[in-house]
Amino acid sequence: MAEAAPQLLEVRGLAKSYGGVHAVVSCDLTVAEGSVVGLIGPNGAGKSTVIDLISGFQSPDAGTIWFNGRQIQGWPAHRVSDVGLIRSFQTPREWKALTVIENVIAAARHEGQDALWRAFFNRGALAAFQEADLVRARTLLEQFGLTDIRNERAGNLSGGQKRLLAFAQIAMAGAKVILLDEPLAGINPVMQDHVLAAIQMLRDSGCTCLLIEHNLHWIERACDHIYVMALGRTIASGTMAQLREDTQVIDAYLGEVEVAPNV
Amino acid sequence: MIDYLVSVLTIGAIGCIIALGLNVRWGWAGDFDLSYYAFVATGAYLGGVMVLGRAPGVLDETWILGLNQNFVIGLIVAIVGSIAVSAVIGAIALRRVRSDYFAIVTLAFALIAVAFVSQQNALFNGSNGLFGIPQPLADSIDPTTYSYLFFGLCLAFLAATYLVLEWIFRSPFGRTLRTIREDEVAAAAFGKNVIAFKLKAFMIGGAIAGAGGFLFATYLTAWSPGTWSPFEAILLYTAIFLGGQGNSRGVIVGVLVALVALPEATRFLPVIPNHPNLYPELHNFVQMLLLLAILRWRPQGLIPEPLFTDLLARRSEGKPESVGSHG
Repeated sequence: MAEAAPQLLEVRGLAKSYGGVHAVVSCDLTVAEGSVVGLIGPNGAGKSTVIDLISGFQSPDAGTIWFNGRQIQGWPAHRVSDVGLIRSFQTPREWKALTVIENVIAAARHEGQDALWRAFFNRGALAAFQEADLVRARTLLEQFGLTDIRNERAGNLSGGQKRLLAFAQIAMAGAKVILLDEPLAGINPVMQDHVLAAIQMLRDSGCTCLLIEHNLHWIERACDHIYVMALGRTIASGTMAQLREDTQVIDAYLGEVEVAPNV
Repeated sequence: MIDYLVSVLTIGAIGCIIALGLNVRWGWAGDFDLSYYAFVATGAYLGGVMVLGRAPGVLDETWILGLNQNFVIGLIVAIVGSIAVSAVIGAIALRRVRSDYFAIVTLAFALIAVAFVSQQNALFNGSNGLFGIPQPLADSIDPTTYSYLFFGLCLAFLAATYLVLEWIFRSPFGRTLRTIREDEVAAAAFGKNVIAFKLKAFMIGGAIAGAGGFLFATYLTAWSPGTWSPFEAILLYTAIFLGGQGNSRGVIVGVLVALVALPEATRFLPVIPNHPNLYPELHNFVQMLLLLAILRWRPQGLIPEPLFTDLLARRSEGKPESVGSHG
C-alpha cells in the first residue's frame, strides 16, 4: 500500500455511482493543515457527494481517504466525526426543539460521558464535566453573537442565525477539519461576511476547512486553494487567478461568469 | 369507596410505569413503536411462568413449568427477559428501517407475538393464558391491608422508575437521545452512534415494560392474550400525547387523566337500560376524540418537555455558580 499521506486530508481516486449515475468518477484532492480549500464546479459535478463520501454519510465504491495519517474511507459517519472531521449541511440541521445552548453543548465530543451508566455512577465527575461544557458553550455563543438568544428553541432562529449556530457547534465539537456544504446557501450579503469571519475564527483556533460554494467572489476571499470538479472528476486546481486562465475550467464552469473578473 | 379508590390508583400507578417506558422509546428516542405492549406481555408471561407453581386444584401435576419461584426472581426474569427480547427486536427494526417503516415492523412483531403466545400451550397456556399468579406475601395479610400494601409497592416502583428516568433525562445520555430524536443525521455528523443509542433507549423501554407487565399480571393474578393488543399501545400514546411527550411528569398526568379518570368517571353516570356497552364504547370514543383534540390544539401536551436553559443572567447577586437546568 502507498506510504502514509503527509497532508491532513488527502483524497485519491474517489468514486461513487448510484445505479447508472456516476456521481463521482475520480476525485483527487489534498487539504493542507491550516488551509481553507474551496471545491467549485457546476451543479451535478459531484461536489456534495464528495462531502458525503469524506464524512461517511455515503460509502465510496473506490478510492482512499487519508485523514490525519489514517485511512477512513467507508467508516460510518459518527466515527469519522469522532476523529475530528465534521461537516455542515446545505440546509442547517439544528435540533429544533432544543434550546440554542443545548444545541451547542450537545455538539461536544462526549468522550464516553454520554454512556448510560454515567447517569448513575460518579455523578460528581459528571456534574463537573457538564459544568465545563456549559462554560465553553457560553464562550462560543458569545463569540458567534448568539448569547441573547441562547435560551430560544433553535427551530425559531432565522436562517443566518442557524448558520452561526452550526459554526458554534462545529467549534464546540473541536473539529480538526470542517467540511462546509454551501455555507452561503440562502443568506444575505451582510451575513456572508459573518460567515467568512466565522471561518476565519475557526481557522485561527486551528481548524482546517474544505468548502463547497458557488459565489466565486466570496470563494476568492475565503480560500487559499481551489479545486474544480466537473462530471464527477477534479479537473483543475490552483488559486482563483490561475483558474481564470485555465481554458478547461472556463469551458466547464466559469464560462461567461468571469467576463469582468475584477468586479 | 376507599377500597375502590385504592384499586383504581393501583392500576393507575402500574399504567404510569408502563407509559413511562413507552415514553423513553417514543418521547425520547423518537421511535413510533406499536409493539410496546408485547414487551409488557413479555414481562407478564416470563415473570408469571417463573412464579407459578402447581395448577390449582390438580394434585401431582405441575402447570406450565411449575417453577414456583418468589416475586423477586419473577421480577428479575421479567425485566431481563424483556430487555433481551427488546435487544433482538430492536436490532432488527432499528438497523435500516426508519419512522413509518419502523412502526410497521413493530406492528408486525406485535401481531406475531399475540399469535405465537395464543398457540403456545406448553409454556403460556395458549389463549387461556396464565391464572392463579401468586401475589407476594398475600397469604399472611388480610386482603384490605394487602391491597394498600400492594398499592404502596406500585407507588414505590413508580417513584423509582421516575427518579431513574429523571437522572437519565438530565444526563449527557439523555441529551444525546434528544438530538437523535430531533435530527439523527445531524446527530451522526456530531459523532453520535445513532443505532447504538436508539437500541439502548429501546432496551430501557423494554426493561420498564417488563417490570410494569409483571406488576400488572401480579395485581390481576392472571394474564392472557386478550389482555394486550396493539390498541393498548394506542391508548398509551393517547396518554403520552395528552400529558406531554418526553416529559415523565406529563406522561403521569396523561395516564391519570386519559386512562384513569376518564374511564372511571362514567362509572358514576346513571345506568341506561338496554345499553350495557354504551359507557365502555364511550370511553374509547372520548379517548380518541381527546387524542385528536390534543394533536390539533396542543401538540406539545399539557406539560411539555422542559427546555434546557442557561440561567447565567441570574448569577449577578453573588449566588453560587448557577448551572443550566431543565426549566
